[in-house]
Amino acid sequence: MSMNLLEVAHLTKRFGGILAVNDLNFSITKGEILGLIGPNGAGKTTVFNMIAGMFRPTSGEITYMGEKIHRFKTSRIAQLGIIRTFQLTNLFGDMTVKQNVIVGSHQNLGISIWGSIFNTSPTRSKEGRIDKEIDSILTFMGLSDYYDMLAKNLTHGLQRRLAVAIALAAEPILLLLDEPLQGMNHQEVKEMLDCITAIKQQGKTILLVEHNMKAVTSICEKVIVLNFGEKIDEGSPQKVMQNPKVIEAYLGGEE
Amino acid sequence: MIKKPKIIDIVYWAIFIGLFFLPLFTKESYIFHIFCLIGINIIFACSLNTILNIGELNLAQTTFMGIGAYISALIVMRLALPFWIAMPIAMMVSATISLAIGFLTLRFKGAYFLLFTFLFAELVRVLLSNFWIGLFGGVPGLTNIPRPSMSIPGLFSIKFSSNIEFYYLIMILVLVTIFVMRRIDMSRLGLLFKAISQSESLAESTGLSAMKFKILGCAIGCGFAGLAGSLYAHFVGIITPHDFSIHAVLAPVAYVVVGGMGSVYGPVLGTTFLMALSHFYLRQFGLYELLIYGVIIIMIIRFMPEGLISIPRNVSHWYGRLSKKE
Amino acid sequence: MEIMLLFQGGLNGIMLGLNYALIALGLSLIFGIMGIVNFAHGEMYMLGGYVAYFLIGRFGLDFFSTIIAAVVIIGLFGMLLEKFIFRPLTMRPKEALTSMIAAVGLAWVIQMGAVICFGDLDRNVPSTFKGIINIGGVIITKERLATIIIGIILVLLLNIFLLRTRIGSAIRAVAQDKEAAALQGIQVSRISSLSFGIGSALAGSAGALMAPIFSVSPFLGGEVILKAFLVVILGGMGSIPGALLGGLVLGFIESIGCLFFSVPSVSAITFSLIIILLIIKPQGLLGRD
Repeated sequence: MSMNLLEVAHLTKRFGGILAVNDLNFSITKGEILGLIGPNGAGKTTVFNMIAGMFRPTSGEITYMGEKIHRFKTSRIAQLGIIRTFQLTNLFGDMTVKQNVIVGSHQNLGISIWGSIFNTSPTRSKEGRIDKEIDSILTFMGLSDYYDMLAKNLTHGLQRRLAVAIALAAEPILLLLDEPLQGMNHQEVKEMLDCITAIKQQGKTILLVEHNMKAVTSICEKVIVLNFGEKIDEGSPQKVMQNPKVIEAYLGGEE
Repeated sequence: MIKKPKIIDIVYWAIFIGLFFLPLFTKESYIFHIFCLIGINIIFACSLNTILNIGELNLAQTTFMGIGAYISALIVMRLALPFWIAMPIAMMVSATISLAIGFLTLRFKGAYFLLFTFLFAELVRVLLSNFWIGLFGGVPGLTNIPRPSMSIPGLFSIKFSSNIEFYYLIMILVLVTIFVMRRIDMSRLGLLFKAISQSESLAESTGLSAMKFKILGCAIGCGFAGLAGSLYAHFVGIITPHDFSIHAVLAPVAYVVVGGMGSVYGPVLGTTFLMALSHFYLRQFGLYELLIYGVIIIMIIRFMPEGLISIPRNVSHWYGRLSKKE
Repeated sequence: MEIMLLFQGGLNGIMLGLNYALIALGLSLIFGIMGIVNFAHGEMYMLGGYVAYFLIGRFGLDFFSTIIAAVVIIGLFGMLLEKFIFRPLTMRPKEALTSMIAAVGLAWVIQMGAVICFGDLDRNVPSTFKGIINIGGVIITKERLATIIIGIILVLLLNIFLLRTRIGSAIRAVAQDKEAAALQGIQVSRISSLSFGIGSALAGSAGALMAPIFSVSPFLGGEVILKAFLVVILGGMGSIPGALLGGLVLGFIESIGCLFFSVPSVSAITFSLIIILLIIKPQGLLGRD
C-alpha cells in the first residue's frame, strides 16, 4: 500500500490555445506539507483547481487514496476529504463567523431534512455535539472572540483565518491552501504558520500554494516548482532554492 | 440575528389576533374577499421567497400555481373527490413536476433555470389555452369551481361558501405556511440554503451539493405555489390560463422584493402592504399601477435591497450608533 | 405550387431567422460580458420599432438612415440603463439574482411606459420600398428583400467588429475571462457599458428593421424576449455563432411550420423540441462546456 495520499500523473490542461499545465507528475505523502511554488502564471492555481474538481484535466489522472478522482465534481471530492481554500477571500459574508463554520461542518452531521425542520430530538443532540467541535475549531483558529460577527465585517487577516476554519470544519484529510498568507502582515503570517503547523500535527496532509518564500521554506518539507505549466524542480526548499533554473524562473518572471 | 425576532414575533402575534377577531368589527363580505386574496398571495409570495433564497428566480412560479389550481379543480369537479384530498395532491403534483425541471436545469451554472422556467411557463400556457379544451376549458378556462365543504356526519357541516368562513380557512393555511417557512429558516437546512445563495463555490468546497439543495428548495417552493393555486381556484371559482401566465409573476416578485427577500416575514409584509396600497389607492391609476410596480422593484433593488422588513433593524442600528457617539 | 410555398416559407424563414438572430446576438453579448440575463432586452426591440415609426412615418426619413438612427438611439439608451441600473448592482452580493429582478422590473417599466406614451394599439409603419420582385417564380416584396439584405449586412458588420477591431478583441477577451482581461489592462467597466449598448442597439436595429413588416405595439417586447430566450437556449448561452444559428433555425421552423400547422401547435412543437434538446444536449447546438 502506497503511502501516497495523492498522485498526479501526466496532468495536462489546455484552455483554448493556451497550455496552462503540461505533463505534470508529482505525489503527496500522507502527513506532509507540500508547497507548490513558481512565478505568476506558472499554473499553480490551475493545478489546484483540477485537484479540487473545479475543472477536468485535458489529459492525465489524479488519484486519491487509490481512487481516480479527476472526473469528479467539487462537492464529491470534498466529501472524500479534500478541502480547499480560495485565493480570493471567499466567505459567507452575510452570516456570522459561527454560522460560517457550521456550514463547513454540515456534511459530518448527516442530519435529516425532516429532523432539521421540526427540530427533532436526535437532530438536536447531533447539533449539540457539533457545536462543541465548532467551538474548538474557532478557538484553535483564534476566532472565539468573534462568534457573532458577520463575516463581511472581519478584518482581512481574520477573514483568511475564518476561511481556514471553515475548511477545517469539513474534516479534511488533504487540505489545499491557496495563498493563505496573502495580504497579511508579519505578525499575522507568523500566527497563520503556527496554525498550519498545528494542523499538520493533527495528522492532516497539506498542499500549499504560496508566494511568501520565507514562509514556504520554514514549513514545507518538500516543494514542487512550476514554471510555464511544467515542473522544473522538486525537493526540499533549501535544495530547490539553489537550483539556477529556479532562480532564473523567478527573476525572469519579475519583469 | 437570532435574538431580535422575539419582539417582532410579539408584534406579529398581536396583528394576527386582531385579524382573528376581525368579524366582530365588520361583516362586510368585500373586506374578507380582499383578505382572502391577500392570504393566498402571501402563501404564494412565501413560496417565491423560498426559491429566491437559493439564489434562483423561477419565472414559472405562477405556472406552478396554475398547475395546482387546475389539478385541484379537476380532481374535485371531474373525480368528485373532496377539496381536502385534491389540495394535497395538487401540491404534490406541483412539487414533483418542479423536481423534474430542477433536476434538468439546476445542475448548470448560469441562467438555465431562469430561461427554462420562462420556456416552461409559456409552454404550459399554450397547452392550457389551445389543447385538450374539453379538459382544461381553453382560453376561457374552468368555471364554477366549488367551494370546499367539510362535514362530519351527525356533528357539523361547514360549507365554506361565505367569505368569512373561507377567511378562517386561509388564515390557518397562511399560519401553517409561515410556520414551515420559519422552521426551515431557523434550521440548519435554512442555513445551508443561505450559504449556497451567498457563495456556491465555497459551499461546494465543503462538500455541499448545491444542486441537491437547490432542487429541494425548488420543490418546497413549488409545492406551496401549488397550495396557493388550489386555494385560489376554489375561492375565486374561475381560473383561466392567463391568470397564471408569466406576467402574473411580476407583482409577487415586487411583493417579495419590497417586503424583504430572504426573511420569513418580508413576503408577508410586502404582500400585505402592496396589495392594500394597490386596492385602496393605486387602482385608480389604471395602467400607471403596473408602471409603478416596475419602478418600485427597481428602486428597492437598487437602494434598499433588504426590503422594508429591514427598516426596524436598520433604525435600531443607526440609533445605536448615534447614541454611542454621545 | 407546393414547392413555391416552401420557397416562400424559406425566404420568410431567412428573414425571421435574421431578425431573431440579431436580437439573440444582442442578448448573448450582454450575457457573455456581464453575466446578466437582460429581461428588458425585448423592450429595446420594441423601442427600435417606435423609432422607425416616428422617423419613417412622421418625418419621412429613409430606411437606411432610420436603421442607423435606431442603432445609435437605442444603443445610447442601453448604455444609460447599464450605468444607472445594472452597474451599481455589480458592487453588491447576489448580483446575478438582483440584476435579473431589476431587469424584470425594467422590462415592465419600459413596456407600460410605452403603453402610456404611445397607446396600446398597433401602429403601421409605411414601407419605404414598394413593389415586388419575382425571383424564378418566387414572389417577394422589395421591403422584405431589403430587410433581409440589411439584416445580413448588420450581422456581417458585427462579425467584423468583433473579430477585426481592437475593441472587438477586448470584448471577446472579457467574455472569456474577466479577470485575465483586467490584468491585461482592459477596462472592464467600459467594455461592459459598451457591450450593453451594442447588445441593445442590435435589438433596436432588429425592431426598426421589422417595423414596416409587422407593425409596432408596446407589447412586442414581451413576445420578442420569449423568442430571444428560445434562440439562446437553442444555440447555447453566450455563444455568438450559436445565436446566429439558433435564430435561423427558429426562423425556419416557424415559417415552414406555419405552412402546415396552426400557430399554437407550432409554438407547442417548438417549445417541446427545445426542451428535448435541452435534455439531450444542454449546451445547445453550439454551446461550450
